Amino acid sequence: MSLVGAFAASHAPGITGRPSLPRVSESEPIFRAYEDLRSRLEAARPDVLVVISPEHWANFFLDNMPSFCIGIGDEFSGPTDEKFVNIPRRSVRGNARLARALVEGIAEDVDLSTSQEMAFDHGVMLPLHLLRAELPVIPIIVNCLAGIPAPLHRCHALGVALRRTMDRWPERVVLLGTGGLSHWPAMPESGQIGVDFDRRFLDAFLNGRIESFLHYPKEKLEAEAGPGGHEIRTWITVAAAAAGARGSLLAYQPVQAWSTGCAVAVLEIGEAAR
Amino acid sequence: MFDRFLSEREKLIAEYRLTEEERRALLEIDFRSLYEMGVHSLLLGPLAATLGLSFPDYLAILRGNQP
Repeated sequence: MSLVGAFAASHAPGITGRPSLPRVSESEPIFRAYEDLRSRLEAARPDVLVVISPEHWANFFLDNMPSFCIGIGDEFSGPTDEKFVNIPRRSVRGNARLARALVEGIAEDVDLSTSQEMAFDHGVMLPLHLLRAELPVIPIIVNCLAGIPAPLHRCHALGVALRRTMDRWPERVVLLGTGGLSHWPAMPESGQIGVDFDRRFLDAFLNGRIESFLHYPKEKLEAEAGPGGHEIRTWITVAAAAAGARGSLLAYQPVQAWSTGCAVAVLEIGEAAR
Repeated sequence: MFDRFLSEREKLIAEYRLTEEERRALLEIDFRSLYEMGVHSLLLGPLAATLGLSFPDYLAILRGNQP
């Protein structure tokens, strides 16, 4: 027990907001990969889904921007940016009891802030929508956006602490990191994609070598993967929780019309860990 | 805040210490000026969508090509 799935997927708003804008040959692999991920989610039979998502101004602003914030609530709602992603706003079940237990465990190693009233933007809602996931969600929001985001190696420490805590639980947990890979979001450079960076990152992510990215220089990351490249933080947390597990790439597609190097991947936790 | 920006922009803007140019850009929702002044693109993109502006048209405005 009890991590039964470790997934990561891009959440480019265009996937649902502008589904027909790219060529079908570009968009189809991503939709298919999300369908595949949905089957894997069902097969894993989780009791709860822990979603690691970047912040996009849904909850925090420049007056208060935590590195990590976990939602301790039994009900959330989203998306806050419904017109941007073309997903109707709805409520999402949480699990305050498990979320509190998660904070207490993680806090032994990594400081987290907590929120009892959290709203979800496309970072959480787009994957939930495509996965048609109705199970309770524990959100962990990571600042990849503004101010001084936590160093990449701290996102790794968060993943290690997550795993250590979950392993004490009887509940079955699937971890889903969302965001990335390279993108220049909603800015004049939108459409530029760092394919070389994305492939190198995926290679490390899928082959138990995420450590090679934990001290990637900020300027290099931004030059090669855009401001959106900071969202690899959520993937790093998932890789850390999967503790070196190898993975499968369900799709990688640079989609210019969605302004994103889109990827969907799973890490094989293995039966032994279940 | 977002709802107030949509429903009573002028009143909201008056509550902040802004330059004349900042006030103008906010009142007119001049995406390009706002972006160049440093407003984050993930505030502007969703705002454009909320106002019914298509993403390609929004990008064209940011790039200085009026659609």
